[in-house]
Amino acid sequence: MIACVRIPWFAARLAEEEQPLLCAAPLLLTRTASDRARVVAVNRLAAQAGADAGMLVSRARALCPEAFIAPAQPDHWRRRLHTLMERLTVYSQYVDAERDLAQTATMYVDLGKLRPREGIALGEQMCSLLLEQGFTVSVGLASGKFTARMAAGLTDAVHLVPRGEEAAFLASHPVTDLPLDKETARWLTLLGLHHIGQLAILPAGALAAQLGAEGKRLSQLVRGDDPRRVSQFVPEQQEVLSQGFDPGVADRQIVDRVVTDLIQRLSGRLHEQGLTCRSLSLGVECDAGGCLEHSRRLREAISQSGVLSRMAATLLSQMQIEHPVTAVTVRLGQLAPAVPQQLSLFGESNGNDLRLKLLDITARYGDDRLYGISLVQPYYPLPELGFHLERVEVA
Amino acid sequence: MMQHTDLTTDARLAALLHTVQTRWGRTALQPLSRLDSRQPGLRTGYAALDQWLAPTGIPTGALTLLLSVPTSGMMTLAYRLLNQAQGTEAQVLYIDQEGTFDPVYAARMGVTLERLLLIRPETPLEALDLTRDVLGTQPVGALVLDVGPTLPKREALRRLTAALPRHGPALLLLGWLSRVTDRSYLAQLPAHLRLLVRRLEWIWEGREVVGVQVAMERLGTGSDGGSVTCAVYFDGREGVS
Repeated sequence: MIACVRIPWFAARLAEEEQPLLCAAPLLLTRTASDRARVVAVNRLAAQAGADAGMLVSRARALCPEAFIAPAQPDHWRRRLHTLMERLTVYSQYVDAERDLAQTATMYVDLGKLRPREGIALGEQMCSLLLEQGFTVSVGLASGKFTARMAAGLTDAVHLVPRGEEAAFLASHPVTDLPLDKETARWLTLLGLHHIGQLAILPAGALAAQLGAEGKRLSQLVRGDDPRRVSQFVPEQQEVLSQGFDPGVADRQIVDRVVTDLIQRLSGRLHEQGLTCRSLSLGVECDAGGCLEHSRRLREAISQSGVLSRMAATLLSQMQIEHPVTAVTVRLGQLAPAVPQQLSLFGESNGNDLRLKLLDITARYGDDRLYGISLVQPYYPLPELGFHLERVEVA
Repeated sequence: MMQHTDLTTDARLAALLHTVQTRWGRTALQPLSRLDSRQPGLRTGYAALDQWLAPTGIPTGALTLLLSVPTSGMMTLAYRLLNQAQGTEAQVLYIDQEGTFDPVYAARMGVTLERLLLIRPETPLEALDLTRDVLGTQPVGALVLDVGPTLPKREALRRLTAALPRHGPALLLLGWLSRVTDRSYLAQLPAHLRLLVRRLEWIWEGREVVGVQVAMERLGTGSDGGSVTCAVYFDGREGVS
């Protein structure tokens, strides 16, 4: 049995946690303050006014002029989600989460074989556990990830879909709930297929014939058969050091020196343990209560203090600090053992293998950057329906 | 006696060559006669253009800019070039910053989609980072960076060319120009080859447009880089200029 734990308005909730005043007004989270930027996440009040993630900031502001705009902090969100996942490991070592967490954070827990009554009891425990952390969650229980996710979306508490009743449960949901691209969703709607149940009664292989591998996956999902498994939770290793100031420091040079000192100490720790890091994050807390955080993913895993200090200095220079600084936090993440590499002055490098490069890209940028293409209907009048993009999974 | 000395010298040279190559790699020391100073370039798939670009063609291990205003035939040229770069076994990478890659049309131009990997970055900066990351990857025949109207800054291009290995793939940057783009600015962009594609006229067959007559101009820091005209057909056939 798989439990899907869903936290709506996740990013907005975290922003409100830092600044409780934001709770009372519509809130838009964006990467930059420019009107041409896109909204990354909104809170419930902003959504009620019509704003939504993905919308241009200018449009969202026109819909709710009284909205506050706050910076998006995806690294902070990921860290908090990671903490919550760690909490959930008391129920199972198999805990993972969906990558897109700005609007709604979705975690999955594989609870193994359980009776329905036991599953509901565990679901209720999860709700209480996360409520202690300040999050109102809903839990869906089913045999597969997709059905559990749909069940979690239905309720504010715990909803169980008994084994064997998945297809019947999913039948009334709209096809737009399926993980489809816009064009496929539109195509299905034009064919008069509005509900998942209508897809489930199509002959076996009909969807695969029209949509290729994507269709095959969809035909499994609509019958409640989701082959995706929950991955094992691997706690992220990181090294963190902080320095507080009382009273706050307004001199940027002092802050710069303290950051360099923290980096040197952290680099020393990495050297002692034979580790390297692949991400650097710098957090600055100000007198006025604001918190700024900038992060950078590193091209190569390193531990040298000089390089890290220069990067931290660049991050610091990008911050708009308007009030005295009360605390600085440096965090080195994605720690991994240092792997010795034999350099060759003249010989051909081994690191140019396409598969290794693609693995590296997937690790650094996420798995939604690389696509293979398959032609479906090359002579279809609408070119966008003539092909399918499929994510490349590099093994 | 003289002959004996020569033989000894040859043997010693051979031993030295062997030692150096074993220790530092096969390409560390080799006879000048074996060094190929110029890598063969890619062909465009159009005889007139290949003749004009001879002997290097579209150079490998170097950056080529292909610039035009929309509907000038540039994408058709780029897809034909990808087809040539794929040859019989090479993989090609297409970094699609604007999300405008048209697989159906690319396939019609002869591109084997099974050997094309599409990379879709989120931001222009990420596009440049990704390009730098995949440079020099083997066995890649060509790498296309389609930046749309967001032409990278000179510094960014300089960093890209610096990271491109000499024996790497052909790097082709496709950029849309606005009608007011300064030609002297384009001529100073750091690239091995800067090609400006202009549409001269549509080619009609009956009441249907089947291709476009293009003029390709080489932008250089000098006064005149030369130009050539070529017929580009939308069904993939080779045109006669």
